[in-house]
Amino acid sequence: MVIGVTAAVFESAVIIGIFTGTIYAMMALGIVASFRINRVVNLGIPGLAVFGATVYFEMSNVWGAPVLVALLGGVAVGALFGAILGLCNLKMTAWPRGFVMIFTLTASLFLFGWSDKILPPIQVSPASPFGDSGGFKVALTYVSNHQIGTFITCILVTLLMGFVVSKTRIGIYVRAIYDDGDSAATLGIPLGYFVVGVWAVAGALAALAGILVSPRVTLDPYLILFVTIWALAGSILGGLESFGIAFVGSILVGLSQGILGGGIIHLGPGLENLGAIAVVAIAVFYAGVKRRDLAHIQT
Amino acid sequence: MALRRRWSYVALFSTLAMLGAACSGGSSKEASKKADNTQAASPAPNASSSTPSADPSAATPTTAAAAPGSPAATPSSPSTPAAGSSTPANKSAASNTPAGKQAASNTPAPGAKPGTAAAPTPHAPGPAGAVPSATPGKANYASDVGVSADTIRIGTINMTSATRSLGPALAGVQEQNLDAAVKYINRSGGVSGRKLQLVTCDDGGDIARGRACYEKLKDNVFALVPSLTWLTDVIHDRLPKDKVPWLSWGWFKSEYEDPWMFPCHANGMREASQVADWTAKVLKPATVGIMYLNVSEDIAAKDVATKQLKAAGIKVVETVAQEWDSPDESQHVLAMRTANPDFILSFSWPAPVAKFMHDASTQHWQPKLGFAANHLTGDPGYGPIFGEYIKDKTYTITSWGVPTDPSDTDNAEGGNTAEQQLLRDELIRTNGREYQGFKWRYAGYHHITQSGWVCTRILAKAAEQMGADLTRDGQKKVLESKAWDSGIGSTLYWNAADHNANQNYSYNREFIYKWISAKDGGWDLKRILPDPVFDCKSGNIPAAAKTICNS
Amino acid sequence: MAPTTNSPEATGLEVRDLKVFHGVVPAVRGVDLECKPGQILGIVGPNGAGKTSLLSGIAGVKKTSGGHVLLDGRDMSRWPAYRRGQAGVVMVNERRRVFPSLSVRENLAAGGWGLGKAEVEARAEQMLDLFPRLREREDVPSFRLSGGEQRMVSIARALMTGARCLLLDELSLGLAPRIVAQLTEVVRQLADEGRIVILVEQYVGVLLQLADHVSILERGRVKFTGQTHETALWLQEHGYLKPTDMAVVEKKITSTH
Repeated sequence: MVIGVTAAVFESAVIIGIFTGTIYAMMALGIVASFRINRVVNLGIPGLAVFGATVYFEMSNVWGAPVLVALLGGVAVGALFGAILGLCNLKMTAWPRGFVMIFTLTASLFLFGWSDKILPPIQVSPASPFGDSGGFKVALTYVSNHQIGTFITCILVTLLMGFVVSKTRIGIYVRAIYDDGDSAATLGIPLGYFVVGVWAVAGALAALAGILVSPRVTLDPYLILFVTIWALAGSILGGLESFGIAFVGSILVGLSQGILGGGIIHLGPGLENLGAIAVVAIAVFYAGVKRRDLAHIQT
Repeated sequence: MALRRRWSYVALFSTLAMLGAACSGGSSKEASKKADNTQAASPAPNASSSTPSADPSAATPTTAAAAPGSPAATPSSPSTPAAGSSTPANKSAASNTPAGKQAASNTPAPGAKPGTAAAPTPHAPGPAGAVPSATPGKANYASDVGVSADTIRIGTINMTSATRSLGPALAGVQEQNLDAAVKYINRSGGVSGRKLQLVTCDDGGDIARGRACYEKLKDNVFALVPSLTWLTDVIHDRLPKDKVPWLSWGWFKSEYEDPWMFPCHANGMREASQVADWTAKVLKPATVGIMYLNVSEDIAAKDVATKQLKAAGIKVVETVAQEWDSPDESQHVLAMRTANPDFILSFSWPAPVAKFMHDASTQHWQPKLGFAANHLTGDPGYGPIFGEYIKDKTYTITSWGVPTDPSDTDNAEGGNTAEQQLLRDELIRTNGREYQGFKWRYAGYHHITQSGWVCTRILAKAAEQMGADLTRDGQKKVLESKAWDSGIGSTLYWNAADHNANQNYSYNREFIYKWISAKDGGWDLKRILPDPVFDCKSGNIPAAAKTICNS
Repeated sequence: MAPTTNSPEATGLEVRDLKVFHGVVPAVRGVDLECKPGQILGIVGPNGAGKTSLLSGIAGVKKTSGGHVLLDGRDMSRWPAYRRGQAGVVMVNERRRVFPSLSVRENLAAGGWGLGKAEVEARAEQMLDLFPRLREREDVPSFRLSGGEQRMVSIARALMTGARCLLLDELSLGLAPRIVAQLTEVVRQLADEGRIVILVEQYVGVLLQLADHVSILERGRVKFTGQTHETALWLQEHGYLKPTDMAVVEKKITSTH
């Protein structure tokens, strides 16, 4: 399939794809986290990401706070709003999940609007927590410190979340609630605290994603929304249940965009997203067919 | 128990609040405040003596000598430069007369070929009959929809609550520019004794909401003025039926095919054709890469440019499609650098182009001769987004000259035209220099928002010609009856039978600007000669444009 | 901490005028029940009688529309399910509700909320002793277990909590007779240890064999309550009891006396 390109071009396309996929993977982590507790596709994630990044931007770029403080501020605000969404979820247990999902989307729009009011009316890119300059050349492309930092953070968070879910007692309770909330509750597991807690974690992850994604994508709510759509596509591979598989799925989507968009496989201009959509479609089909097996490896 | 009940109220209120936010499309405060409201443009306290000046704080009032309603008498004339203006109005360009006398006047458009000079020819009035004219001494009355004895309501539909790069940044600015034009016209006596009133409606970039806006406005306003809305591509089934004249923003080709739509700005295909032609003749690259936004208008622009470049013997070595929501453009940079064109032509949207340039910058790569990208003149705030990389490498095409600050000395024509001066002064007067958080030149001088000013002025002039008997039908006939000199560049001309959909290019001016480093280290635009389209028959040809005219 | 079986305040479970709705449809229309520590209360009734809704209402899994649930005199009607679980009222649901993505041991650990790690380990060992079959499969994901094994896991998991009151929904549903026999033995043993057991069963034979008292539920109301042999007679009179089931009751009465 690789026609008429040098190894350097191919390597570059792969590297670009991996880093594009990392952007999706960062957003996917929050989606998986919240789905992991009560099976609601949390469309509040882009809103939480944008708002967290907005707080980070305000603190670092406007107030002049140290980057680390701003980062913690953004993540804390994300966690707070995630917890509020989790609380709302608890009050909607009798609602059809689709309605709850729409409610979370509404929350995103609300946070978008709020961010819009805070941010200056131009497209802004917050400073990277890893520094705005620095990086190195790889093949024909250039990898910035920010990209490397985001990639490493994404892997670390994925591993951490996977470990917590699969190897700790908290993880057992989370999985139990996910499998059957009523039975978990009757065993004395405080379902409400867990839902709120996990949604707070999801909010924190979303804010972290927003902070790491927006220096690259710009802090535009609608662009972050579209990144979330690709992240959703990536996380579908693991049935929205697995941090690890969501990471892999997101990287696959990014890779397909990198390879097709980088001119490695000439489908014609404008078809790279079609290629990525094909990858997603195959992933959805695979996830549907292998649902049971995926449940086994979901952590 | 009490806590539980209290929580229920909190949940209920937050749900309602969130639903409310959703209903408003997550809009900004300005957008929601402006949504669907009626803005009565307030006349200045002393309409007869309010004359614009470069600096509102140091205005030099000049008594309006002309009859009320004639803006001709009110702008600062070149012989009496406004306070703070060190640059005399242009005397050599096409619009070398004071704006009040020449702008939006009935100048017959000279003929020209695409890519060389303007082509429209004066023509007979449309088949519907004679062009209406005012009956002297007749009192104003409610002659048509949206018209009363003392007011003319005009409408605009803008995506003010849409995405950041479109909503507050552009559509919001568009409304402010219309507001500035309306205020200026009213302060200058209005339109034959009637004041203009601007009615706005926010469609958030949603066609369904846009249609609702249209339904609300069609029986409320006399005409529609340039609006940033996707609606102008799909409302053609309604305009002829409702007979609503719409002086539109001109982005869609279909606007030129609608007998009730009067596009106020060269569309993407026209600009693509001109910039491709200019590139071939002036920069003469051997190879080019083309980048376009994956939407119908820009695909068409790409096709036009490709054809033209090929005809000129230039090889298109790579074509990449951008999505406006693209998170990363590294892959496209890779594709381009692999193909390694001499020059890149972009028919896209500033946000993904900025990303492309950002990624190209980090990869330390640039095409030998740089880029040409549309939509970049004075685009609000885009300088910092593009970064240093854009400086000295990016050209952009526009239908309108970019007004300059008095301190600027890089205007190729030696300063502003009178209308440019007026536009600049009025925007500063209405909005201040920092409105929307931008430097005034970025906010007011995007080619789309400039169209708002130009066509509101033209609408007023056309309405004035009818006097008391102002009707929509009459407005259409008057608009189609002659060429309208904008005073800041193109002359607009809408043939009665065809609003230039299939005719030679009627807009007799286009300009090329280049992004350069400003004196303060920021970003600035410098006009590059020769112009891509110049009125060769007018005789006022800058030396650098002669090559184009001669070719 | 819940009172122990022998403490004077261990008065058992009391249900007063309990009402449960499915949307607007009443499923339980004012039920009164009582079960002392060490007793097994059987609940029987046709499909749609409201048996599972009744248990769900007691466990707090389903919201009640009226009435009271008291454990050892404490009114827990307004408590959420998890608080009732922590107080010792644990429901074992009808549809073999294991946590499918968790292994057997993890399922058991899920029942150890509030316990220390060592205590969880110790109790899990006890459960694996109680159900030796599970020890062989302790690391297997639960969705791979057979129906009987899943039922064992769900009971063991409930016992991990140290439950004072077990609400068992359809113990024998879909299980082989051998497994049912094994489970009934365990349930009897649990009651003998002083636990309160409320058992919902469609299979009357199993119910009569295990229960000390039986309530007959019909259209959300208690039609009859009595000791096992009284219930058997009522059922026989109304033509619900097969001769084989009657034989079970007689055998039980003989062995008890």
